[in-house]
Formats: sequence, structure tokens, C-alpha cells
Amino acid sequence: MIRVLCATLFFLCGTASAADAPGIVVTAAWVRASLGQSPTTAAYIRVENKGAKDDRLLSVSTPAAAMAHLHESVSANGMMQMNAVPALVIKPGQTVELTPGGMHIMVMNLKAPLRAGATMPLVLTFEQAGEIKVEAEVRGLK
Amino acid sequence: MLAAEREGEKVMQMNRALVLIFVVLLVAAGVAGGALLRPVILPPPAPVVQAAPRPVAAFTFTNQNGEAVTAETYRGRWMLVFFGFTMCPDVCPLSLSYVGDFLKALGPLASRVQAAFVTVDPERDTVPVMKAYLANFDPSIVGLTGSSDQLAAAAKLFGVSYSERLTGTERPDGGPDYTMDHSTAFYLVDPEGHILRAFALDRDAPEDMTAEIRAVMAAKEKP
Repeated sequence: MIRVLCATLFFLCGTASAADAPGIVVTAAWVRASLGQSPTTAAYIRVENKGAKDDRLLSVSTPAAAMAHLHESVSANGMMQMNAVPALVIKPGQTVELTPGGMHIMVMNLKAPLRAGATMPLVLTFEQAGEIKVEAEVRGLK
Repeated sequence: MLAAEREGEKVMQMNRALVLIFVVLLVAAGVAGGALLRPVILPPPAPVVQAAPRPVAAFTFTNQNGEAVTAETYRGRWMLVFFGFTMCPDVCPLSLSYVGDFLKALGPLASRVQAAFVTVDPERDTVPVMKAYLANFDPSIVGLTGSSDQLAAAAKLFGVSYSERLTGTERPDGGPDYTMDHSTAFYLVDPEGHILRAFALDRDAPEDMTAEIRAVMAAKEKP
């Protein structure tokens, strides 16, 4: 069934101009404002694959911090762990949402505190779609 | 040997045989009956039911205002205790904002509750760091930090586990950076200091937790 769907989507996209296909669309980007002196925060995005092929989010960066990594908060035996997500796969037609308590972009060693109302650039590198730059809105809690 | 004696011996032998058969039958019946009736006649020894003594919260920490506090400081009030650290970017802010929602939802009962955030990263979470961090949350939440020994003693009592994990990256000062794996339950402590139960954030929706704590408090506080 999935194979048929993929084949159909591929056919549809194949008939359209491949260059016009939006492929990966990133929306709803936000980052939590700095809490006190903590140089660490988390950013969240929604990624939709409107293309015909699997795509993978390979890396994230921001000029506002020394490092940004895709992480997942995972509970194992009542112990919360933060595991690195090496590459996030987004299938054609799939929307992946990063939300508090789940997958997030961990932003480490902020160069300056983030204040609510500002924006923070996020550069997302995808295997197929290449670099996509979005402005993440800096918000208070939740 | 006289015929009468021989006759008597035969009778005795027959009697012995009968007795033997009777005994065999009796034992067989006993075994069979025992097998059938065992659940009734010989119930397995009942386990000694004894409520595990609830651990009593005991700790010594420094609050975000630099004051020394102990578990006794909060006796007479309910406590909702959460272990985390300020450089935890995702789950800790979420949990602490839940605590704020929870206190709001409790209404007037909230004045009977002391919420506490205990850091599992006392090396980096010093008093001023805790104070600046907690300024973002419900102002009634107390932040507790201390020595690694003070933390270890409290964590053991609450059944909290935590461990450092290297992130493979460097700190701004050049040292290896680390994050903490830690238990993310909320622990409810009654006014006598008993650690009643843990609420796991990933299992208990915040609304369920509020409803349950409200019920526990109401049951205990009724006149």
C-alpha cells in the first residue's frame, strides 16, 4: 500500500516540474526564551515533506549559539534521558512535529540570552532539500 | 503343632492381611483425599501482610536565597518535589511550568503545598543560578541545591536516580560538556513528611495528577 502510494506520488511529481516541487516545508519554528543564566535552551519546528522522496534532517545550526543538535527526551525506567537523533527521516506526505517533552533541537552555549519577542535564525540541512533557513520566534514557557 | 494352633495362626495371618489391606486403603484414601482437599486443608502459608513503612523525607539543602533548609522546615505542609537541573532544555522547563499550572488549579489548597525543585547538577546549579532560573516560574517554588553528598542522601530516600552523561562537546571554558540523565517524577510528601507516591510526567497527564493530589489532600485534611 505504502509502496503504491509512494509510486503514485512519485509519478505525480515526476510529471510536474521537479524544481517547482516545494519538497520540505518548515513551519511553526520557535525557541524557548533563556531561563536565568542557563546557556541551554530548546527549539521546536514542524517539518512537512511535500516531496516525493524520503528526506532526512542531517544537521541544525544557529549563529546564536555554539551548538545545536537534534535530541529526543526519552523516558526509560522512570529515568529521563536525552538521546541524540542522528538523522530524522521524513517520508513523503509525512509531517513531523517537534514538541516539548519529545523531540527538540537542543541549543547549547548561547552567545547571548534569548528574550521573548525576538527571533533566532535556524539553519536546517536536509539530505534532499539542502539548507533551509527559518526564523524561530523566541517565546516564553510552553 | 496342634491343628487348633495351626488354625489360629491362619486366622491371625488373615487378620494381618486384612489389617494390611485396610491400612493400604486408608493411606491411599488419605493421599487421594488429601490431594483433593489440599487447597482447603492445607492452604499455603499466608504471606505476612505488612505495609511497607513509608519513607520519611529527610534532607539538608540551601534554598535559592542562600538559606539553609531541612525537611523539618516544611513539616506541616504538603510538598511536591521535582528533581532536575537548570541546563535541562526541554523536560525541566515543561515540568516546572506544569507545577505552576498545578498550583493554580489547586486554588486555595495551594497555600498548603510547598513545591520544590531539587537540582541533580549542584556543581553548576549554584544558589544564584537557581535563583535566576526560578524567577521564570511560579514564585512559590523553592529551589534546593547543596553538596553532592546532600543530593545523594536525598535522592536515595526519594528513589531518584541521576547520572552525568558527556555530550561529546566542549564547554565554553574548554572542559568536556555534560548533561544529566535523571528521574522526572513528581513526589508527593504529606505534612508529616511521608513520601506518599511519585507521579510520572510521561504517564500521568497533568490534569490527572492535579485531580489525584487534590483527592489525597482532601482525604487527609478532612476534619
